[in-house]
Amino acid sequence: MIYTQKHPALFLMGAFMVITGALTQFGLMDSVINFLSIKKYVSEIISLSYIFGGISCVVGFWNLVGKHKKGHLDYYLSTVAGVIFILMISMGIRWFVAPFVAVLSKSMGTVMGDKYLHEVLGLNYIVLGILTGIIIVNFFKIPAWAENGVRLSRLGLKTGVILLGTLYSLAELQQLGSLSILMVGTFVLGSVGIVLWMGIRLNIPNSMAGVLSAGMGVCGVSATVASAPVVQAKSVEIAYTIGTILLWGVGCMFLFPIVGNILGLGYVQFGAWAGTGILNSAQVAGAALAYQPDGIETLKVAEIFNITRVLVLPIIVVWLAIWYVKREENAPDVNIMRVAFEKFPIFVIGFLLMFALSSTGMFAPAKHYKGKYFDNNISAEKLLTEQELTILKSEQNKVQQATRKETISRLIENQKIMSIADDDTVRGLVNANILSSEANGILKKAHKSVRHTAKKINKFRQFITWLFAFGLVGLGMQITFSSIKQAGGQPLIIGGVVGTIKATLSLIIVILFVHETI
Amino acid sequence: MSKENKPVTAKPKFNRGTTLTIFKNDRYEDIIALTLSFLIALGVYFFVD
Repeated sequence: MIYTQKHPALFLMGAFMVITGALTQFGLMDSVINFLSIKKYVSEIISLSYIFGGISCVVGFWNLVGKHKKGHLDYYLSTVAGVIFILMISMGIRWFVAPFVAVLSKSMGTVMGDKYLHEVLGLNYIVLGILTGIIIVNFFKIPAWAENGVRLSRLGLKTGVILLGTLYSLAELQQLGSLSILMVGTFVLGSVGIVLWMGIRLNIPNSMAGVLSAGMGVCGVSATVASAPVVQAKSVEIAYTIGTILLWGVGCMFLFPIVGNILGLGYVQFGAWAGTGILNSAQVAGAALAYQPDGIETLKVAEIFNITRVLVLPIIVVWLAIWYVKREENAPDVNIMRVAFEKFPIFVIGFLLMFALSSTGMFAPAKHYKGKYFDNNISAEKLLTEQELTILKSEQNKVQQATRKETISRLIENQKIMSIADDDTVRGLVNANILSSEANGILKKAHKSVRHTAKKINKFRQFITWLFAFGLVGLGMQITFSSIKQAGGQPLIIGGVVGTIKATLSLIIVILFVHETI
Repeated sequence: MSKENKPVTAKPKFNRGTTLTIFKNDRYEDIIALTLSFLIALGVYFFVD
């Protein structure tokens, strides 16, 4: 069988990309770029358009004029057209569609704390990518020349999950409180157990129950993707899980702050509750900021609880591998070691290896979290100027809280932020809007001077973003309406029930055992 | 391959790999993902500063 199709699409897509890159480089897209506020993407638009446009033109030309024979070259080169097809859609979503949705949403004003509608609903490139894929496959059909390349989308997702390991470091995770580890561990494992049990009771496919349990237990796209191959989950089941998590999170973002206020929860209590009960990282942050708009104490605690889940991911994958084999093969006495060895996805080991490499400090200082780290050994020109210090001194008396007062005094004395704790206090002070915008600007400058982002981690983040965008558009292209209908509404019910149980129980635990210090 | 893993189009089009991957099995795909990610990591380590 010869896979390559003599079709001009790849060459034309390449030409289109090169033209887009050139238009951007020579400033002909400036009005669009300004309207969408996407200046940060300009260098990416130019470089990626040229690179992939060039590749497409060369391979597209070969597809048209070359003599193709059955074999490896034909097989693997025939995937390029599909890969570029998905990539071009991903580029459109990331650079233009998602920013346009953000512009529309921002024009409606904030809906919750300082959050806009698209942030609350999680309408980012991930969701928009899956939706676009679904629309293409159901309304337009995937072109024949692209079909082989669509089968590479899962490889993109797996590579993205492995690279996710670079965003974490052991030093950061070691700082987690024992309570957060115990609480998150219990609730993650408990949620997985309940979803699996309910899945059996409601007779949903094992693959659906398995992937949903990882999604509801651990959270987010990465856990869902990591567990999917272990339970042989279908594309529609992965999408269903992501949809359930996001829907649940939207409700939680509104409800959690209301309940927290009614019960008078402290910042640490609320942070612990949101970090345990809400599944999606962005939505955890949204709820925490909505609860405490004038500080970041709640957000810090919520983030700590949220990242603790990463630790549990490998355990869940092994559990699901064994559970799935037992259920599918109807063999209750399976050899656990054998199953763990045979079924454990190697790419999850890759995630752990990347995490280990990242912890050695080879990509960023070992204590980083998602590439960000504190370092106040800054050059003289980054210190606050005499003029800026005068402004801060003149507004110092507006600050009432003792900790904040001391922090400002230290800042004025040293012309820079002296510790991570002081940095957190400064961020809280900015959020509180107590000082004038001019003074807040100075505080932001002081914060930026001591908080650094590792360039290598930033590059990894860029790779991860593109791999996920590519993988999820491709995943969407494998979801037909009939398969959605086939999946039914039961996963949503299970997700809702388990989410409610988790939120309620974690609230009780928080009220009983969590106090203002961890 | 699961019976429910239906191909993108109605009739099977590929005589290599499965409907979800171009590789012969999941483990092979994992190894490719692992290789790819380590190549990216090496590239980032040596060329990004």
